[in-house]
Amino acid sequence: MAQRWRFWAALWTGRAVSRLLRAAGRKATTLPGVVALRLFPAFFAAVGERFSGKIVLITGTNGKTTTSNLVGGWLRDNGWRVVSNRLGANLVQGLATAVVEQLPLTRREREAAVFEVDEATVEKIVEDLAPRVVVVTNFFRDQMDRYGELDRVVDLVAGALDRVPESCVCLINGDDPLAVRAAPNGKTVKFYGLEAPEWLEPAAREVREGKFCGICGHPLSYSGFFYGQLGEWGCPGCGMERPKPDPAARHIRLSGGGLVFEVDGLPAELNSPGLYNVYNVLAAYGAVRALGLSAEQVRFGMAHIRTGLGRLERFKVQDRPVVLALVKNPTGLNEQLKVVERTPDVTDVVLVLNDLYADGTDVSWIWDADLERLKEKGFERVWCAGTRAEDMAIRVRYAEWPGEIRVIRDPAACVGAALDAGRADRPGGTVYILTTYTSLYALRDWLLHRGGVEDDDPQTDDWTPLPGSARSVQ
Amino acid sequence: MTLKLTIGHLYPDLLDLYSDRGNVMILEKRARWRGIEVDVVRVDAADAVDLRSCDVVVMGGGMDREQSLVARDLQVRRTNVEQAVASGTVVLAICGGYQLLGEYFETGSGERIPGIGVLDVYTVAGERRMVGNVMAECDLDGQTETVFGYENHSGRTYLRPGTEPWMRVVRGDGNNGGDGTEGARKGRVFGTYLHGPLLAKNPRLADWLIRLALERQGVQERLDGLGDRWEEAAREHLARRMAELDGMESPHVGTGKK
Ligand SMILES: [Zn+2]
Repeated sequence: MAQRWRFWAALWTGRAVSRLLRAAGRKATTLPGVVALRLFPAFFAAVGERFSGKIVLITGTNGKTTTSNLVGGWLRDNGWRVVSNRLGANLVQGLATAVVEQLPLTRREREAAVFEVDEATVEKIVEDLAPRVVVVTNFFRDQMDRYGELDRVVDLVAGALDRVPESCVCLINGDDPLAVRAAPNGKTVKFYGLEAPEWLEPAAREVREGKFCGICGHPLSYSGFFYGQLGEWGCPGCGMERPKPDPAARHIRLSGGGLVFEVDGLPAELNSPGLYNVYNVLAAYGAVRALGLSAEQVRFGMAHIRTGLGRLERFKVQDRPVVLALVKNPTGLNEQLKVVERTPDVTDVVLVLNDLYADGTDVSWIWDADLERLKEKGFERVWCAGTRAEDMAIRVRYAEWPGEIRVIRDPAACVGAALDAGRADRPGGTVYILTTYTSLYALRDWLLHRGGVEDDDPQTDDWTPLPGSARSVQ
Repeated sequence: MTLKLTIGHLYPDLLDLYSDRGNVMILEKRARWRGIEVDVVRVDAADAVDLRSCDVVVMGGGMDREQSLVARDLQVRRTNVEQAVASGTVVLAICGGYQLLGEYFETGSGERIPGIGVLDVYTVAGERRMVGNVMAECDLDGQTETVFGYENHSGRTYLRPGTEPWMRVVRGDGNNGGDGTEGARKGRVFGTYLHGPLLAKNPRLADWLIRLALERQGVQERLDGLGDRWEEAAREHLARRMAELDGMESPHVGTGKK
């Protein structure tokens, strides 16, 4: 009883801090959580108890935000109350802040917590939270300035999965041999993946991870790649091979600028042509099913999937289509460049490269990305912006991009110039913006201010970073 | 007569941790843009390639697991590497590759992974990771050249007496965070911790290595300028930015603030 009182005292103090920060016009993504944790160190254990297992943790390099948005959206569609962290605040303090700001006073049958969690943070909270589902999306090189090498990141997540409770389902991307390496023994594990031989590319032109078997060290062999090191893999050394996917995505095809496919016989439709999003849909589907939703309950949601908040978000500015996407590592950038390739009538591509802590202070990763793809797509100009704009310009130069390279450091000014430049010759042409993390929100605000989202989709609205996440508190 | 440059890319699969493959691309394109023919030869573990056929050999760094595989394979190539170097082949090794060219790498548990000793240096595992932008200086044909790169290593490398450092650190940690040296050179063998990739923002260094490699064929080539305007702008901007960044790096993620 005393414990419960201390939990709520910590929570209310944190909430007061959050109000003060917001009243002062500051963003409050970590401090309220820091305060609550300091006052009550067993904070996460109390949260775990409160949700009695109805907690979903999503970790991995790419796709965490989209997956947790999908899980949260489908749960809310079905009348669930959801506490979730947004704005990528996915370290311990960020998770605590989300709880501080959003946890409703009264308990309900249908409520859940959905957290995207940094790969190095899962092990710190997994025992206390005792989740029902842990999703592992994939592992790619990312933020090496912070974590050192990728093997270490995989080990950290594997260590966390070893400590999930009996009742937990580990939902792992089976097409990624590195994610499979993190699968624990003696726990419930499901592997999701694509049953889409027509999408397999024979050879990887990209830099890829995990070329060697996690068990015996033999080089892996592939019948084909979906992207990065994701594909149909097997080890000739020890016989380990890609697990049969469940859930699986089938019959994937391009349709009207997006993708249509099937999951467990349910039709799904995505408004963007990024294959990586099919994995996010599979992970989210697996997670809500594990929480108890039926296939019927997600039928509508699956048929209208809109990516939002910097994950290929579409805007209309002065009648020109503008697409904004977050890129933070080579694989992510490669996937976005493929999306640019699949989009008809692109006039300008804006690449924003920053080197603040949240972006990663090492910008050399752009040399691992396949910017050579740019020259295969006919468009007018490449623009480079951000704190390391010139570094990007150099990379584009060596990719032998034949068109014009323009550098304008200020991201918004750069996008403005790109919009103006294309208007004269192809007023209906699309401007693509690929940006690292720290310019994402400023650019998004700028685009909203100058124009708006392309269509008023309720799901896109739901994913707007509302202060205090009013919608989910209700 | 058309000039031809042969670049050997050592262990492109095993040592691909950072962006160092970019160095191969930069050497290749800078030579091609001047009408020099280029052949890039991949050398994977167990491949029978005589390195004497290469004018320049480039190697990067890898993860621990991969690096120990390379350490074994390199032992087999040791004599061949020495022969190539004696024949004038230029060797550029970055980070893990640099460590393996030294005498040994001593792990945290005291185990010594042998290198091939073409550089008189040795490396000891350290606790603190040395991470961040680096500004250093080296000598290019009697002129001091400022070099920009990015380091990310916990191994500390020490030079044996009489061994020349390749550069002197202006900002950053360099070989061991203590003696102000960065990298090592011995004749035509160069080792450094600098990623970036190294040659991206240091076009004069890239061209100098190309000239050195061509010299091996008895060619004294004056390379035409390539109008490296982004490179010059990047160098100038980074010099200013490094001063700025000193006060800005914070351990907080996800504020969404610009
Ligand atoms: Zn194996």
